Amino acid sequence: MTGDETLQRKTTFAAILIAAASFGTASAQAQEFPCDSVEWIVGWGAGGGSDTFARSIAPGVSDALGVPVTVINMPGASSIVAMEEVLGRDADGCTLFSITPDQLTNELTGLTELSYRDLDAVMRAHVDIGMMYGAGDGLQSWDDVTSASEDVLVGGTGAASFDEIVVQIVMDDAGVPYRYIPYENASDMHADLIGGRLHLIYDEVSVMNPMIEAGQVTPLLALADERLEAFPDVPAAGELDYTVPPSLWRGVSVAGDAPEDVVAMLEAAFLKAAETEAYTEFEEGRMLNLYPGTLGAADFTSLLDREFEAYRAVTESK
Amino acid sequence: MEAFDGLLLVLSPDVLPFLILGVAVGMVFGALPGLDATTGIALLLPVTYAMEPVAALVFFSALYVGGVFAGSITAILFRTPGSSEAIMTAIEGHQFTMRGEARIALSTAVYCSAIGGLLASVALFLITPFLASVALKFGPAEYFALGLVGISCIAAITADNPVKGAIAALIGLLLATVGIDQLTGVKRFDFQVTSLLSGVPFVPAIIGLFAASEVYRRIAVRETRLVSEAVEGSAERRTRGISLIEFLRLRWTILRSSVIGLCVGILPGAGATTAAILGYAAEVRMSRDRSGFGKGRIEGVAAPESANNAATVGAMIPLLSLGIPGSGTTAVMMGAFLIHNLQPGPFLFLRERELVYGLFSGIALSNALILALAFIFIRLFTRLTLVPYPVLATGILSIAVAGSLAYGDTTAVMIMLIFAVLGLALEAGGYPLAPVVLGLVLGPIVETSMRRALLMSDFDPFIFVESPIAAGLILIALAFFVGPLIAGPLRRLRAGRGDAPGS
Repeated sequence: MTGDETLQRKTTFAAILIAAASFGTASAQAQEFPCDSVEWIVGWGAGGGSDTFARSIAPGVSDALGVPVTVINMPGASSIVAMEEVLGRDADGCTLFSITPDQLTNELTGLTELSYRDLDAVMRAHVDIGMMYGAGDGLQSWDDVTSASEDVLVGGTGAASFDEIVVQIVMDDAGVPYRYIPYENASDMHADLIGGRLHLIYDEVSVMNPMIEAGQVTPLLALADERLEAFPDVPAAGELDYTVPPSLWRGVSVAGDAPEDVVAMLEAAFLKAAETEAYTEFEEGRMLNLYPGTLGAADFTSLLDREFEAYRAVTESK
Repeated sequence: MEAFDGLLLVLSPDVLPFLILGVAVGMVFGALPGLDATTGIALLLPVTYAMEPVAALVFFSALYVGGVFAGSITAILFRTPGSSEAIMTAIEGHQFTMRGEARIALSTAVYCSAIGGLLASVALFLITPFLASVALKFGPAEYFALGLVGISCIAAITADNPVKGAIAALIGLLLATVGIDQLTGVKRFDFQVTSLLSGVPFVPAIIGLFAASEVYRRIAVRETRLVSEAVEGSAERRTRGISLIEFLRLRWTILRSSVIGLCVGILPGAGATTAAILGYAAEVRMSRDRSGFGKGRIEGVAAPESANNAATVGAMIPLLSLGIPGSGTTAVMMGAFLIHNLQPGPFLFLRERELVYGLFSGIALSNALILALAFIFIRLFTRLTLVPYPVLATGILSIAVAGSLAYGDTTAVMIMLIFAVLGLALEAGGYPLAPVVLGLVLGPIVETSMRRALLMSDFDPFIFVESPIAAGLILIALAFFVGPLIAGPLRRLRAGRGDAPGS
């Protein structure tokens, strides 16, 4: 046996020891997380945007925390049913709650007495860019929209909802007469646009991308500060000097006044999970990476306050 | 040729096991109230990451087909619809169980589900692009007219007591107004209960209305057996399935209901539950002798079962060819496409022809497979009917509670119990339950479509007659409404004329 080989063996052995030791600390760290398991309550149905987001990132979060993370759907009333459930539980940070701008608009439109301030923000994961779309022989470009003389029929999901507020911001700035047509089910809205019964719709790119690629719908305006790399031909609201409406984002929170160290551990776990391949692939596949959207707890909290005021200004001007 | 390649693909050892597994898993989810194909697919979506795209998609389609069928087994045996698509089957089919003829209804459900699904699969192979273009023609005005046709059938369903039928339908329509108004965002009849903001939760409501109320009724009359002793004697009737002659008599029913199911299924704004209800309603409307419906007529099982499986297949059409899911379940299934980097829509047909035809073959085969697997399930479940009723009742009620809980929160359980009392009271007063369900399902379609259409037309009512589809459907609805009113006097007139020469 040569010295080299011995050395090699020793280094291998050392490497194993180090690996074992770091594994030990990893599991020690995991034990620090005070919950045996984490339940993640999603206030929307299975298969929707919030649900697929939760199910895509949950495995990574579970690995980082060292405890199982279970996603539970509790759909109903624009996720207020789920929010009540979460706020009714102990504020120990062991129950997660998915949030979207709906938590802000639900409060403003008086759908619930609950406030987004009752929650502690953990992390914002991504931004799902909104766009305005036309189809077929109808409106072919944003210029067609702004030169319309008759009422433009604009579809969106929900009445007195996030979509309606966004449509109001855009159409008021464009100075075009319009009527907002609310839908409960986005599929019906897509069929009405492609079928020629609606002129324009608002929806997020993650949902519309297959229809854009197939040429069934045409994106006319991106609701972003500047043109998106993925859609170089589509004008952006910012370059037309419109007020850029807040975008739809997806994030996670816990019931308010949770222990700070638990929230910090959750934040770290989520930020780590957002880097995993499984999750970045999911973002890529759904075009959720067009705009850098990941925010930590502090930045996310101040964003929530800013956007709440922005929505309040619009709903009060009505 | 491509169709044949697709079939070979599905029969390959990489795919076939998943097809069989899919139907079996679907049947389990479908048979349990509160769990359905939608939940099954959402739960199993992560498992299929590593699978071949074709295998994963065939697995989910099979699960969907199996799930929609299996709801009928518990519906017939215990009046407990395992999934909402089996609601009409619960009404008509359970009557057979009470007569000791459960196997007749069960075997009819099996054959009709399979044939309905297979007939729709033929349409899938041949005229998918055409059907997709029809789906796009349906706007709010057309949905309103379609809903009206459904509601106009209420009089026919409740021929023996139209007044009580109309009252029951109005109760259903009234309950359908609960929740946030879809067009203004205003809360209606929510009684400060958050769960009611999205409307009366349908699954807990029907579990209460049918399953739990039936248990309470039987307990009230102290029944000790599921099948009353009086009919148990005729062993021949108890064990035999539907005979070939009886089945052949149903051919037009099955054909008609499959076409209705397929057409309703392709519409994103309707679904397999609506298809089952419309299939049933049309069957009653079309039959010359309407007596016995609601009391165990075999057509009343055949029609909704053919229609709901045909609708399941139909719902795949807008998903595959337009990228617009035709139902809640196909919306979840869209996720299965996306995780395999497949985008449903017109491009899928151009780029992935082999996959599309493989999927078509998979859907057709899953329907055929119902024939094979269903009887194993039925044998298992029919054993349960021999269990003493008090034990069975405990089981059914536990599942009713768990099923409601799976759907939402504890409020859902309360709603289930309230509907159980409602069902008990209605049936005790001789009010039929079918119109309540009709109102509950069609109410939101009719209301929101009408108002959305008017919003689009700036309150010009002519939008309802501008398109030939809407105008045609409204004419049918009018004929159904007015028909019974003038049919009586007309018959009397004719009878009078017939008498004249003799007198």
